[in-house]
Amino acid sequence: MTQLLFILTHPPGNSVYAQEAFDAALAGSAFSSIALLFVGAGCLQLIEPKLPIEAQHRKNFQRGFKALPDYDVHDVYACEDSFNQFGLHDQALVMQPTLLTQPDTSALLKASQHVLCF
Amino acid sequence: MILHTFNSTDAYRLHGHRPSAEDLLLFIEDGVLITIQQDLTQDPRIRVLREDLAQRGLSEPSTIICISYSDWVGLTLQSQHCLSWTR
Repeated sequence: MTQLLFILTHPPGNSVYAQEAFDAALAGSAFSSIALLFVGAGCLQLIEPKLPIEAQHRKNFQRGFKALPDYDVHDVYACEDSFNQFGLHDQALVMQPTLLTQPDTSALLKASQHVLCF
Repeated sequence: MILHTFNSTDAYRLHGHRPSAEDLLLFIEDGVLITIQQDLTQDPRIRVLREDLAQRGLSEPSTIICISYSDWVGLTLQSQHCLSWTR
């Protein structure tokens, strides 16, 4: 059972939500079993950054998603509808999440002990 | 039951999750502007924070259930999770 579910709803770039969620998820992984769920514009965090760091004026935290298995985080999910809506099947991604339908997403929410929405 | 709170109408439109039939959708802050958007007022799961309506000079619509801060506290106690969708 997932103890902590992190829901990521903000795109990267225009706010600190995305970076903060990732930092919180890594911290959470140190003491409980966690899962990540990308929903809506949050799915855009999975797109491989194309600009160099100097041009982005921020850290490429998304590259850290590749390191999640090293932190024992294996449950990374994304909403299938959002994936289709943003056309992410054609994009280069930092990692491939497990796609969930809406009923699967609801079941995941029900089965999670705590949910943190970023 | 899951309590979803939305702090703007965009947070509702763009959140990308379809809440279940038993969930509740609570609109706070600028989310209360949903009340003047007729297309969404038929959803029985919608709740609106009365204080935020009054702050914006909007009157309470007869078709939507308006709640107070203490009702909100009651809803959080009844809910399995409280998800805050922001934009």
